[in-house]
Amino acid sequence: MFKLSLLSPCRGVCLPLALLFSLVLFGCDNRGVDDFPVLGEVTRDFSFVNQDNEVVTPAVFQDKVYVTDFFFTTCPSICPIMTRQMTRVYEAVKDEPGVLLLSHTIDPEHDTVEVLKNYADGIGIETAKWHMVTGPQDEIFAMAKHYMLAAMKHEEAPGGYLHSGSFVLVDRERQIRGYYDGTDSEAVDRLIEDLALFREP
Amino acid sequence: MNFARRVAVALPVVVAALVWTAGGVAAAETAPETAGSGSALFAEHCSSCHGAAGEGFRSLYPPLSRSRVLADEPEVLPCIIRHGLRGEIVVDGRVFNQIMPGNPRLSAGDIARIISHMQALWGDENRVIEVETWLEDCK
Repeated sequence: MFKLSLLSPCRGVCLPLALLFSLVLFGCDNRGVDDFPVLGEVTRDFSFVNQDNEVVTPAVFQDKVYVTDFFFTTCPSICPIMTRQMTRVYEAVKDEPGVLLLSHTIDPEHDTVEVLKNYADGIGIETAKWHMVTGPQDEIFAMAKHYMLAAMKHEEAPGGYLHSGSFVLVDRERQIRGYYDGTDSEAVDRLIEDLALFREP
Repeated sequence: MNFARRVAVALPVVVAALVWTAGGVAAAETAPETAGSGSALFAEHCSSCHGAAGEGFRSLYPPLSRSRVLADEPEVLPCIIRHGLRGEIVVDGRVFNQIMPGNPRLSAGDIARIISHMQALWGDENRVIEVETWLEDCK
C-alpha cells in the first residue's frame, strides 16, 4: 500500500523512464558477437613463412580469432604507428590462447625472415602469438585484396608502397567481423574491447 | 609622487607586462605548426617512428630525447636524416639494430630546421648547425 502510494503519482511515466534508463545504462554491456555483421569470409588458402622460418597456413588459425594487417619494416609513414597500436593489441591478448595476430609484409624482397625476426625482436614479441609473415609478393597482394584491403607498389608513395592501415578482425569461422583504423588509438581501443567478446568459444 | 602612488601607477603596467609575457610564452608553446617549420617537418618525417615527444619505442625505434648525439655529435645527423642508418647503435644504454630509411627529398634547409627543432627540445640550442658542410662529408 505504501509502495503503491509512492509509485502512483508517476506511474505511467516513471516506469518507462526507468526502463529507458536501464537500456542506456546496461545496453552497451549486452553486446554480443551476433551484433557484429559478417563482412566477408576468408576462403583463400595461403602459405607464408614467419619470423622463425615456420610455415604459416590457415591451419595455424584453426579455432582461433585473429587480427591481421599489412605493413613493411622500412615504411616511413603509417606502419610505425600501426606497429605501436598492434603492440597494444598484443599486450591485451598475449595471455589469451584463443587469439592470434598476423602481420604480412608487402615488401618481401627486403623483409626477409631475418629482417622480420630482427623487427619482431625489437618489439619483444612471441612468434606463436604474433606471426609476421613473408612470401611471394603477388600472393601477399592477393591476400590483402581478399581481406578487401589495398596494398600496391607506388613510386610516389613514401617507401614505395600504398597500403591500408586497417586491422581486420576474423572470427573462428574465418568470417570478417570488423575493420579498425590501425593508426587511431580509439579505434584500437574498440578492437580490444570487441576481441574480448569474440575470444570466448 | 609618493612611493605608494608610484606603485599604484606602475602596478597595472607591471601586471600587464607579466600577463603579456606569460601569454607570449603560452602562445609560443601552443602555436600551431607552420608548414615547413622544424616542428611540422619533425611531425611529418620523424615522429611516427621516434614519437611526438622523441620517446622512441621499445628496442625498435631509439629515443631522440635521450640521445647524446644531439649534444656530442650533431654533425652526423644530416647524413643520417638524408641517407638513413643501418647497423647496431647504442642509445641511452640500450642496443638498437633496425634499418632507418633515408629522406632523400628533404633539402638541406629542411634538415637544418629539423635539427634546430630537436636541439631546442633535447640538445643544445646554441650549437651552430652547418648542414650543407656536414652533408658533404657523408660516407
